[in-house]
Amino acid sequence: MAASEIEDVSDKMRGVGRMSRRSFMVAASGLLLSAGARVWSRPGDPVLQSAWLRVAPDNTILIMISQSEMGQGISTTLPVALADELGADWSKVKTEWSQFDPAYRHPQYGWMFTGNSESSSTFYPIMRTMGAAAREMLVQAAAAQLKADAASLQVRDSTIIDPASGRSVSFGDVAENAARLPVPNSPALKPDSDLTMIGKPQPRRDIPPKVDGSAIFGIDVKMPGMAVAAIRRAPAQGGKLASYDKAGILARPGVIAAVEIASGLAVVADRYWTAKRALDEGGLVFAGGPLAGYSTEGQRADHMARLKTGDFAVKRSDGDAKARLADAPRTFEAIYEIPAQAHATMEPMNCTAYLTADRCELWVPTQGVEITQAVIKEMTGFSDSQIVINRTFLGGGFGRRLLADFVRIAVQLAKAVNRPVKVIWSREEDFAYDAYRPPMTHAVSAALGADGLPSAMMHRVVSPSHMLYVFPRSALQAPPPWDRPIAPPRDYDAMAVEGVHLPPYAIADYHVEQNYVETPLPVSVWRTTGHGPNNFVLETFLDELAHAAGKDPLDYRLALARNDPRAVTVLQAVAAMSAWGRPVPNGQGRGLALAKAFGGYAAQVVDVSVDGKDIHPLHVWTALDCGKTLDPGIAAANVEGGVVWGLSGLRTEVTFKDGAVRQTNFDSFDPVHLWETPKIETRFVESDAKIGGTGELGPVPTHAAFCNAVFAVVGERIRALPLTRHGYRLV
Amino acid sequence: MIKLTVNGKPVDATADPDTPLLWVLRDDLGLTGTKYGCGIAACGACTVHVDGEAVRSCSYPLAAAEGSTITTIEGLSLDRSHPLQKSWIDQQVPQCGYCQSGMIMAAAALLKEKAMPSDADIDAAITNICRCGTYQRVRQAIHRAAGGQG
Repeated sequence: MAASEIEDVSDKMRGVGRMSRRSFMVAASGLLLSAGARVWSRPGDPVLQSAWLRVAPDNTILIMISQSEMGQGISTTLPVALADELGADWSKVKTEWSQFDPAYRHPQYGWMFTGNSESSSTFYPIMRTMGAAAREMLVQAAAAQLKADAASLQVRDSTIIDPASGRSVSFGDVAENAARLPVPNSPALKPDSDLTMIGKPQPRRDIPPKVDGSAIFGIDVKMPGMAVAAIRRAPAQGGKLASYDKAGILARPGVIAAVEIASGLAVVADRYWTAKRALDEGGLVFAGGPLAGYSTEGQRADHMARLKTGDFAVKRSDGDAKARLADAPRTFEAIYEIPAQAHATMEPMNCTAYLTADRCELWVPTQGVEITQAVIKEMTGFSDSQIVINRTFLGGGFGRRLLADFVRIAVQLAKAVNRPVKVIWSREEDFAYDAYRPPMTHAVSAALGADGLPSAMMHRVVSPSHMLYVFPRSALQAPPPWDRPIAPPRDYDAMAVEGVHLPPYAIADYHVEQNYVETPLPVSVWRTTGHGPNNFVLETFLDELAHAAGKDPLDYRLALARNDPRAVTVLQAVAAMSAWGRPVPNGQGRGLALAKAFGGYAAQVVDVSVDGKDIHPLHVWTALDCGKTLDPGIAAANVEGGVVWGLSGLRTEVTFKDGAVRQTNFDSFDPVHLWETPKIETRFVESDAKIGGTGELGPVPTHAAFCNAVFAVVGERIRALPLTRHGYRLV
Repeated sequence: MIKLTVNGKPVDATADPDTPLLWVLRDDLGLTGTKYGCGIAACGACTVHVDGEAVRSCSYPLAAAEGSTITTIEGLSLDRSHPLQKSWIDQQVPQCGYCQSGMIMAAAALLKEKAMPSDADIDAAITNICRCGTYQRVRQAIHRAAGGQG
């Protein structure tokens, strides 16, 4: 879409985010219960049921999973929290993906989605509260039945025991009576000492089906009478299908329909390969569109020009950094360039849809349940009750599956052919029609005080919004189509400057400003969002300043973060893990970086070896404080994978020529492989702080720690990514 | 019609001979454990065994498989009892899991060739892409399955 099509609602919606946050804080406890714990049981239905939990008389216990499983383990972590609080026998608890329901909305945003590393921090307290409320109701019903004092009863393994009489009842025995009781307003949570599963590594429920091929991802969905569609669109997004051999395509055996879609054609057939071959040989001719003329080279030049002459909006200003920098006898300045990235989930985009006169059912790997619901409503005119969204496992999300573009195509095809249709994007379509991590350019300058620490610092960030597709539509009250890019209120949209906006460092004169780029390139959130690029800038630049001041990079950060105890703790922890300060062999170097992101802190040390222009990562140590670590096993896996994500981002990029992406498959977009993976060690230092996210924090410091290690060996600063911009290779 | 044996059962495949084995397995035989990732043999998500060798089935035409014995992830064991499947669960390897069928089949072919592979053997044999970054646990799980310490 052209920049002019991006609707900017900033004026009318200014302040929406702040208002909703404030009203949530006031209403928090009441909201939790009214939204989630309201009893769904119908009169005469002998079950205790809410949005989250169902206890039946036969003692079957079902916990609903509202958050999508894309590898982060949330389909184990959150139900375990509810089961632990409830006192249920986890080995017998069943879990199920929820449908869309307002009860599953993120309470602050009023929007149902999985992303931004917020599932645990948002829903853990809700799980505990739901488990406690249900336990209180079951115990009260049991007390009546056992004629005992509720306070004296004990709960374990889905059983309520009266120690005085030795008698017991199961949850199922009292479910019907419990369902008739009022939902408690403020159920008391168990003391942590009574929890048996939270805080300990639990085997993930989703792993056994993932080792024998039985796990069902979106691409694996099978329906009776289902057709399969392949699509092909103009190489540059927004281009047009000029012509194609319609008769020839329809004459091929197995082809059911050829349907024109935005920028291209879908062929619906009995099998995927039939559809794909029909597109290959269907004489498709495309014409350019709004991205014609867009190139990465042009984008870089545009960003540099914006640094010189663009308008910048102030995002934070403490003291008077501009004046201090102008007065300083010596200043340091650097410009950083961050490339566009593709999500490249291993499972390409896909969706299965079935539409009848009064019902639309979907089987879809999505992070964005509510945007999906909204798009279906818009396309069909149906009400919520006529729409069923069945979620599958997601073969990777990384932010890509927050969007609903693949849903729109499936619903359009289902309308056209009157049977269930599964549309599968080819890998090439997946690269060409991504909403990319936006390219960003960042100028930073600093002056040092007498102690060698920065006394003034200024960040000037040139970036599009990362939130054009993901800002909750509910808050914007914008007209359809619901999945077009919308600029969120500018004073809310801090994603492009996050990481430098609220750093863990005390710098008296500190200024952050952003030039908003209205790019024609579709851009959106990508694992690490703005934190990844901005941490690369801040932490490599700090390394330069430490070097200029003649200080050790660890000591330098410890001094600068002295007012932030969580930062100091993780820095000290990673120093101990990695034996910071020990000599390293010739040809090797180590780098350090600190991140404050997604509600947590991570300090990371990377060791590399350099051989000419080849750089090999050897070892990565990470110390994290994410408050309470709900599952140390699952959280460590997230960090290990995150480090690989961070390393891959040093090597991958997507570039454009005449609006078309140059990297269309894994031959030219080359993530890190097993043989390039360093030894990765992870340690969580717990704190009493609010829970932070582990999905995206791990990779945030990796770019900087790696590049600081490279500097330690070769004395060259990496300021543009990927590494090939400096002639280096990660191998 | 092309005859082959898939997970111990004889199969008469009716798809066009140029159809990649991957899509015959997925669309005609319903064996969806084998995944489509790239279509150009670059990522390994589609790895199966053809006569005991690891093959990237997205780029392996049905015609080439005529008379062959194919094993997919569904045929590796009946009950997740293959040593790799057990160690994969022990080490909690998968995250999103999409690449893991191919990863396990590549590892199974390696173990057939080398019962106790070294790190270098694993580096050379496991060239599959995992965007979740499970590689460190993949390496450990292969060592454990082989009886080593990893």
